[in-house]
Amino acid sequence: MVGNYQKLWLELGIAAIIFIVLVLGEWLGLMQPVVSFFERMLQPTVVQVSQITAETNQPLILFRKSFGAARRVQELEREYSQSLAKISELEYLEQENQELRRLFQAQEKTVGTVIAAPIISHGQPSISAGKDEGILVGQPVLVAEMLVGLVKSTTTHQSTINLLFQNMTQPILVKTEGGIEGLVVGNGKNILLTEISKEADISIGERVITVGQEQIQPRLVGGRVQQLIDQPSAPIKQAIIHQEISFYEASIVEVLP
Amino acid sequence: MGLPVVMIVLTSLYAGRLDRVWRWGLLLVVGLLTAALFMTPLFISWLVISLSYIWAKHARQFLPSRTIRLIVGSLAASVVLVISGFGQIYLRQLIYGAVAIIFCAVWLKRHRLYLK
Repeated sequence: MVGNYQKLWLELGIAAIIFIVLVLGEWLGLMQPVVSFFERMLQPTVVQVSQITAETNQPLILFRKSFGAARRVQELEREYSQSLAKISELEYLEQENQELRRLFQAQEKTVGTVIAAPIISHGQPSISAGKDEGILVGQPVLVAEMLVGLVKSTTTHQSTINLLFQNMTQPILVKTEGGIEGLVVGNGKNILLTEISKEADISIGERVITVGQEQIQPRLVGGRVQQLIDQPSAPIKQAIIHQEISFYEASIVEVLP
Repeated sequence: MGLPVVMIVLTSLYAGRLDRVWRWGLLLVVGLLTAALFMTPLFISWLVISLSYIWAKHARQFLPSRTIRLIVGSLAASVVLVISGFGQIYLRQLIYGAVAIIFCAVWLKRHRLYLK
């Protein structure tokens, strides 16, 4: 019994000494290159494991989705026909825009490099790119051209993402196709468009796009209005935003500079 | 959640079978791996890994069953790792952790693996 206690105290002592050494090392910045080396070394394995996990989950996701599949197809067909009508309008506008640019000899503003990074964790949304790849906290994260979240924290080669439905602290300024402005925040479950005045005329299916603020470029698509919440006692209206693309079904994301 | 649970169970299990130098070396390498995987400071991941090993080896007075000690230790350590790394934990992750624990419990019982 005494021997066991001695062993226990000896092991606790060794653990405490190593702990103090590591705290000092971390404080002096000596541990960062070692952890960074491990991050880099683990990168391919983590990406591989994440892909295998996503593929394993795929049948489950498909099964869950199949319940509302018929209704979803109808919605997509409607959206497709609306998009076709919009494309011809946009093509005309593009042509007009190019002619105007030529006339004014406008200089194209240089756009920074978009960083593509594989997803390494869906549970705690993380990507395999960090400070060394040029990722900064607060940068917008896109999946298939749709804003899905913001960079929450970064290490040397990894970053965590705050998805829009989790983003309760950094509201994003947006407007609808009808020009109604509001703030996009998350409530942990849904993406909400808040701070809409009671009189604002907003309809279901309208696209929501960013207006532009520090680190968030304008004209990024954030989703479509899915449901309106207009409680008589509340001073403002809210809307639930639906995104056609999910971070959880993607394997790669784009981080905008 | 499943990954740290399995990782900590295996580490605690095999660290007990090694001599002193290799044991602490293994714990340090696993600490580095978890620090890189969960984006935690190295000293926190070290604290979690070393304490879960010491708990699994020495806490017989609290829990006589080694398997249960391993499982409780690894689950607590994983929760601490995930919270310290990502700032929060979701119910879905706890479910993944529970699945990993069931897998570990069956595996440990079936192979009669124990700590020396």
